[in-house]
Amino acid sequence: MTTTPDNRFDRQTRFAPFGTAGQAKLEQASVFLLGAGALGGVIAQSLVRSGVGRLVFADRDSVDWTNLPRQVLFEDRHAAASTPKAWAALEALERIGGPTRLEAHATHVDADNLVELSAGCDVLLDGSDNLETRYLLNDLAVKSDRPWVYAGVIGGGGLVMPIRPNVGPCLRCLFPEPPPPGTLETCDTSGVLMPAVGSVASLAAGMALRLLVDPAGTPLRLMEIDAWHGELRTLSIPRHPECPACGKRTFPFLEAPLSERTLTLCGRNTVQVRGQGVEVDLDAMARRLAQAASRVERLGPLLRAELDGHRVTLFRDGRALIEGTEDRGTALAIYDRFLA
Amino acid sequence: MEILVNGRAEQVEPGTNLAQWIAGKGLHPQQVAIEVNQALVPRDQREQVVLQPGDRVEMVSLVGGG
Ligand SMILES: [Zn+2]
Repeated sequence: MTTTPDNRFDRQTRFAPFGTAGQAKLEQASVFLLGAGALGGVIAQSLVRSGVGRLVFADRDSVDWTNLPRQVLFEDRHAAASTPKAWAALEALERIGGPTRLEAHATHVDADNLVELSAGCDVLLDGSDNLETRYLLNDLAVKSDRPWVYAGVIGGGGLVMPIRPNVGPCLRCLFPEPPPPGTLETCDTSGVLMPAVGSVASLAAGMALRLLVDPAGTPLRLMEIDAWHGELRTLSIPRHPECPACGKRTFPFLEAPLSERTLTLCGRNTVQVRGQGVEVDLDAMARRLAQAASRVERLGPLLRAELDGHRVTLFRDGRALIEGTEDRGTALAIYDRFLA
Repeated sequence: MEILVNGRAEQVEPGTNLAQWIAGKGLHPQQVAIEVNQALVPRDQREQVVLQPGDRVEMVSLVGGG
C-alpha cells in the first residue's frame, strides 16, 4: 500500500475503539495544555501527532540544560539561548506537521488569565510543575464543567487522574486542600527520570484522547504508575459529597485575587510573593532545599537561599522576597517551583 | 499485627488508628488519600478508624512535580 498525506492517520483509525469516528472528533477538538516542559512536552507531542484540531498551550519558563534529559521538545541550542519554552515547543511541534492549529503563550498562567487562555477548549490538560496550578485547573474545570486530566511526576513514577466534573471524583474529592508549602518533594529536590515522565505523560495523553473521543467510557480512576519499580495501581474512589469544589462549589483558587500575590519592590529589583496563609516549617524547608539551592541559610525567623541564580528570603508566614528580578512571572515561577 | 499496605505486608502496633499511622510515616495528613478495605476514609474520620489485622490499606500521596 502506498502512503500519502491522506492516510496519515491510518494506523490509529484501524484501532477499532478509536476508529475514523474518533479521528473526526479529535480533529474538531480544542485542547488547553498548561505547561510545555516535561509532562507537557510529551502530552503536546502525543496530541499533535494524533491530529487534535487545536492545541493551546502556555509556559512561563525558559529552557535550561537540566531540562534536556526529559523535556522532549527541546534541544541543546534552546538551552544555550535560554529560549522561552513556549516558543521552543511551538517550533518543535510545527515541525511535526499535520492538521493541528497551534497557539503558544509564553506567559505565567494564573486566575487572572486562565479563563481567557482556555476559552473554547474542550479539555484542560496538566503539564504544570506545582500544586497551586493544579488546584487552579481543578477549580476552573469544575466551575466551567469541562473535563481535565491531572498528571504529576516525581522520581521514578507518578499519578494520573482523568476528571469529569459532576460525573466522577475531582482532585479535591481526594485531596481537599493542598498540603502546606514544603511538604511535598519536587523534581528539583528529589529528581525525576525521563521514563517516569514518559509513562505518566503518555497515560495522561491516552486519557485525554479518550475524554475527547469517548467521554462516557473514560475510566475515572486515580492511576499510579512507576517506571522504576515496574508497578501499576489504580484506585477507584467515589465523589466526596462534602468536596469543596464539586460538592460545595467553592472555587477559592480561581477566585482568589492572585494578581495580589506579588508586589514589586520598585528600585530594589525584588518581587515580594505573599504566603498562602499557612505557616511554613522553615527547618523542613531548609532540609528540602539543600539539594536544589546553591546555598541555604537558616537565620532565626527566616531562611535565605540561592535559587536559580536569585537570592530568596522566605519568612515563616510564607512570604518571600525574590531578588534579582522585577518580573512577577519569574518570581512566581521560583516560588511555586521551590517554595510551594 | 500485620496489615497489607499497597499490596505489601507491614507490621503495626495493635490499636493504631489511621491518623497515627500516617503521622508515624512522617506524612502530612493533607498529602495522602487512603482507602481501607476499598473504602475511602475521609480525613476527618481517620482517628476513628483503628487498623485491624489483615486490613488492606491503599495509600496514594499527592504528586506535585511535572
Ligand atoms: Zn470533588
